[in-house]
Amino acid sequence: MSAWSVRPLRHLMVATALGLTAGVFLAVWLVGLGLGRRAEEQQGALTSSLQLNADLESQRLQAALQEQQRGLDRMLSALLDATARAAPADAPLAAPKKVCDTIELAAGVVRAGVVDLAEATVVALVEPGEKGCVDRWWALQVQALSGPPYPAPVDIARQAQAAMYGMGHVVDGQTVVTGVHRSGIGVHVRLARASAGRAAFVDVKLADLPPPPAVSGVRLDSYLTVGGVAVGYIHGGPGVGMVPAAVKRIKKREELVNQLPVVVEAAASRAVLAWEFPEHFDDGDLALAAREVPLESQLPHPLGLSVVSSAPWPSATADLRWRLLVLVLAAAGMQLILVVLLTRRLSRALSNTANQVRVAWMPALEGEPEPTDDERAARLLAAMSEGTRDTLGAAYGKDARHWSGGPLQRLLDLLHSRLGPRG
Amino acid sequence: MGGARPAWLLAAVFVLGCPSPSSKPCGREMQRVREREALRIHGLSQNDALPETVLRFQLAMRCASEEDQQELRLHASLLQARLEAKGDLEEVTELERLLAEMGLEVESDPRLRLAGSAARQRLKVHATALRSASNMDPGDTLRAHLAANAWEADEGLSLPEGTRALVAYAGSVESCFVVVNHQDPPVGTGLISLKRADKTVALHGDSVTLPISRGKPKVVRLCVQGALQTNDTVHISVGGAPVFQQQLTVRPQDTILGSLRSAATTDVGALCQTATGHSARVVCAMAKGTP
Repeated sequence: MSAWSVRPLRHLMVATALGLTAGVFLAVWLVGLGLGRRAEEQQGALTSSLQLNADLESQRLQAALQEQQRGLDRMLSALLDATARAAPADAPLAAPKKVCDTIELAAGVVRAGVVDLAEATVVALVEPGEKGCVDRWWALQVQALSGPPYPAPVDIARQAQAAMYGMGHVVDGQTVVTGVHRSGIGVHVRLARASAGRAAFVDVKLADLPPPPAVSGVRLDSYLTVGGVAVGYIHGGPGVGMVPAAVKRIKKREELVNQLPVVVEAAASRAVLAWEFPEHFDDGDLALAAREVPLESQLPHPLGLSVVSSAPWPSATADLRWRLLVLVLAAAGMQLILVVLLTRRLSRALSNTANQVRVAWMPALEGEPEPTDDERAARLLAAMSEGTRDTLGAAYGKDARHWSGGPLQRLLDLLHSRLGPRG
Repeated sequence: MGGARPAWLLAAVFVLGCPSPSSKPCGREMQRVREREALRIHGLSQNDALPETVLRFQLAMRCASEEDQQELRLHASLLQARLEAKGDLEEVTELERLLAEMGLEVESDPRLRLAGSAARQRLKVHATALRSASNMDPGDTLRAHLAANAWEADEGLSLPEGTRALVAYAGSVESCFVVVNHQDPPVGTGLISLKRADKTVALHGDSVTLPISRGKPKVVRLCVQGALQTNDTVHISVGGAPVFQQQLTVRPQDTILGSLRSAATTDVGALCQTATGHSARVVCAMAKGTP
């Protein structure tokens, strides 16, 4: 590399390289500082906004749950009253049918019934049907008389066992949460109330609670936890079409099932998973805020309500830093390459001239006769004149008109005639 | 010895630097359980198979700490809650057994098992009561046989040979009858129809085609809208040729059952007041819950 052998150019390049490096570091530091400050400001404002959303939604859901519980409390009392008129042994088969006439199934109720705790028998079991309340238990009993087809024993057992779920936690004269489970991704809660050896229960699908008000750019996911573990969603979760897509991906590559971030790429529950498993997600991925509040229940593990509020970051801060660094480095590299390419002729001319002058002025090699001063002057003049022409040509172009070649040639000829070898 | 020191040091560093084979797989299995549960809860996996879930628990339990065991117990109890709510006692029992085997006892309610068996027993009584009335007429014998089959009763009842049509229930909104084929029509595909004064009545319920093959009894349940009438006759034809016809007989207990099904509970009381005959009294007794 000819430019490197010329001291001023070498110094220039070293200085440029050092300056560029320092500039790059300074730029990255400044950009990072600026972005960080901006991100902090945004984080502060955004997180405060998300936290507010989560708090409001949490309060709204708690109020809705309390309101729903009051309504269900009345329904459970009515259920107990409706089935308390006759003892189970001599109750007419038609009696439970009147349960549907006595009570009105509230929104979200997927099953309700009464069980005899001492006998562990089902007294009534009703579910919402297409045309309103349907008495499943009564229908099974009638079908047992008017078949075929007779009800399959396994179906009867299934209904009875489902009715007994959570009955170990009922409290006399008080409506309490005795069971929480999920169906699909939705959470179902069983509320029960005991009186005089019987317990009335109701299963509620919490997804039927009024949905949260839409806030532009903010996503709200709410779910129940038992012992700190998510049980099922109230609102939010994967959207329609998301789950089959994720399942399809998992089926295609079974090992994906253990890679949460990979699997949830297409799923809208990313926010909740990012909240629950922060170690798997990048900090710059989502802006998150959450509110977790305990709920009263008779379950052996604490029951909680969680609301996660999320929004995509306004700018992907972490990614931007790396991109800027790469851009600055690429620009600096390009500049260096251009400097080398554009100054290569000039560098070569300067290098050659300096080398020829050095050779002309240097003492003779061992074994050779020492030149006289005149000879040295002549060689030096020849090297300088040739080198000067080359340098000027490299600097200003090959056409001598651009650097006034005539006067220079005359000057060089004059010097040559004065200093050149005589004879 | 001096030359061997770097090699020993290198080996020691290598051995100490490697992850211990016992701790890392454990953490991985626990993490796998945690994440699989999370995927299920968040709807990203539909794989809810009990054996696979329990296998994961077993792998994680091999070297789970006390804290991990608590977490596994929690996951197991949530799985148990879901199975109990579905009423899947067989799976609940299997889960309890498998968990007990690995030392993960989960609190369970013994009444859960009682409820299923009690309910089965209570409704099975209906079939028993129906059988007690079976000596009254051939139709009831047939009903008892069908009921016994449905309830897996072990008392051997001989199915009357021949083809029979009997009323299941007769209500004002809907009435149903059952055609039981045992042996005699020609082998082929029988077409069932209900004729009322030479007019064919529209049927719904099972298919009106009755595949007839020797030695394989078939039961078909068909219904008409509204009440049955005295001249309603069931016809079966095979290849266009009539092979069977029988007039339907509506008994008092059929009307009581029809009233029960149509929720006309006031009619049931009145009908049972005037009910005569053993079978009708049995149905009324069952309707009152004291068979």
